[in-house]
Amino acid sequence: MTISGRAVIVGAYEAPIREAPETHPFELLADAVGHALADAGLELADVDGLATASGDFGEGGAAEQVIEVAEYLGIEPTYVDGTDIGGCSFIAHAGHAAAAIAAGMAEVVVIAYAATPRWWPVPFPSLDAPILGAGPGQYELPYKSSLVAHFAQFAQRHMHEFGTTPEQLAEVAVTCRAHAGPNRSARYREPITVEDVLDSPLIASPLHRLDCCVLTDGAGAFVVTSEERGRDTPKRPIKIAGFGQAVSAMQLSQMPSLTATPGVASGKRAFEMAGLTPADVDVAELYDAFTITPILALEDLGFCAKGEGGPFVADGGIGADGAVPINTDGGGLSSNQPGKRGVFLMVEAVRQLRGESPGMQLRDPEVALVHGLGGFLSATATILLTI
Amino acid sequence: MTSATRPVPDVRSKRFWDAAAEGKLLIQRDPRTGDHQWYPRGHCLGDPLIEPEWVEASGRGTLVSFSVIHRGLGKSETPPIYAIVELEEGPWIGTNLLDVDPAAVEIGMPVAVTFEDLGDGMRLAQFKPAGDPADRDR
Repeated sequence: MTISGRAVIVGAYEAPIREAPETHPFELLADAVGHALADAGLELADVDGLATASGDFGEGGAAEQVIEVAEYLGIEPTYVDGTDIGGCSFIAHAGHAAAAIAAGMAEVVVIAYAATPRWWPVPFPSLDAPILGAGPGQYELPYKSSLVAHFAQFAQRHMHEFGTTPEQLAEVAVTCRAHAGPNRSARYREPITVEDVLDSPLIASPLHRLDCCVLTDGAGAFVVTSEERGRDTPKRPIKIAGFGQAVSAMQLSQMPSLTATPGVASGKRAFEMAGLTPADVDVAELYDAFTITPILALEDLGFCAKGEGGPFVADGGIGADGAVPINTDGGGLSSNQPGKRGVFLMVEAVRQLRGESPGMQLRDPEVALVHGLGGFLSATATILLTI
Repeated sequence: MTSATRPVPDVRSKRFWDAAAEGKLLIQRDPRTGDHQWYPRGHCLGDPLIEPEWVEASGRGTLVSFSVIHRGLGKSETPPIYAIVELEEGPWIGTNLLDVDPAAVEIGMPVAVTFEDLGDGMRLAQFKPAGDPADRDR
């Protein structure tokens, strides 16, 4: 049995806000769910499945977060998914939901996320240390690394092995900023240059401030249902054609490589399920926590050979007229990143295939790829969407 | 030190931290294959039912990657460096690089273990540039 094409996305919504002072994220999440359902022509009473990953910094929930979110929404779903593999969780939720729907375990699954990390009053482990100090963490936390310094290891190694340059990394930020230009909700819209990126302060070498994603408050949601039920919804249903996920390690010392990610495995599965290749992809929404991460994704997913991501980007490969335009809303580097950006990657891919992007809308794209990461390139999830 | 980054030993790791206090970096070895592993676990990677043996690492390694942390947790005058080191025995270990000019750090450089005093009898394995070969073979 294949799940390819059996489930469709019928509603999608990204809140336009980027700052929500003194607002609990559950309020934003419920509002996003309401808008996503309205977009689908559905109501809360139609929902029998709920997925979220809302138990981290600024997300509002504790360990059993999916129950808390169901409670706040006031629903009693019979299908739930609280899988938390970091930023790509919602891409994984969509794949899981497609399988559940194909198997008859759920009919209307809403996948939602909100976070207000800019305002968060409750003590919580730092984003720099997403593991605990006991057990495996006793061998890692004493070295006091930071989130940026962790991702910097990938960039530094990529530069060493393949000659990737800071200018090539910067080109990713410049391109995302250009795509954010038309997006009235994007956190930053003014064009930037490679020099601007290189002149911004080093946070953790070789990554500068403008190599890093923005930090926003935000919320988004989308609705997955069966192909049959999708025929009756107001907008063009978007098919989930392929899905893959893979997990590696939280501690960098435990990873098999610093230049290849679990995306090699998740991407292969997604393309095989969809019966598609990178050449078929019209637009890609790639998780850009830092400028190095889309470069690794382009290589791991097969848009270019390993090590050629830097030149691919510098030669315009990810721009509006490039081989594979990416992050058409401005991405996390310029538009929106409250902690787990995956939900917005999904929403923007749906908007592109509907012709509704608030950013750089491409002309009639038919195949969109969504690729997210979690942890420190510790997990990936990949989805192929078609009209 | 009440920091959340202070190691929390357990029944498995007590031997590791005791050795570290004496200036020894213990890693583990699979008794069947001879493969080394880091970090210490209750089992050998590849088989949850095989208990690993403790061995002292040579303390030599090479730099896999690094980052100089200009903005982040450390606010000391010299920016801290977080790094990944490949131990001579094979495994990678996360560490800081001490006693080095950040501008002189290069991937592939040889490094050697050193120990940082954490107070209350605890010492933490750290790495620094390896001295000349004679120094390293001592």
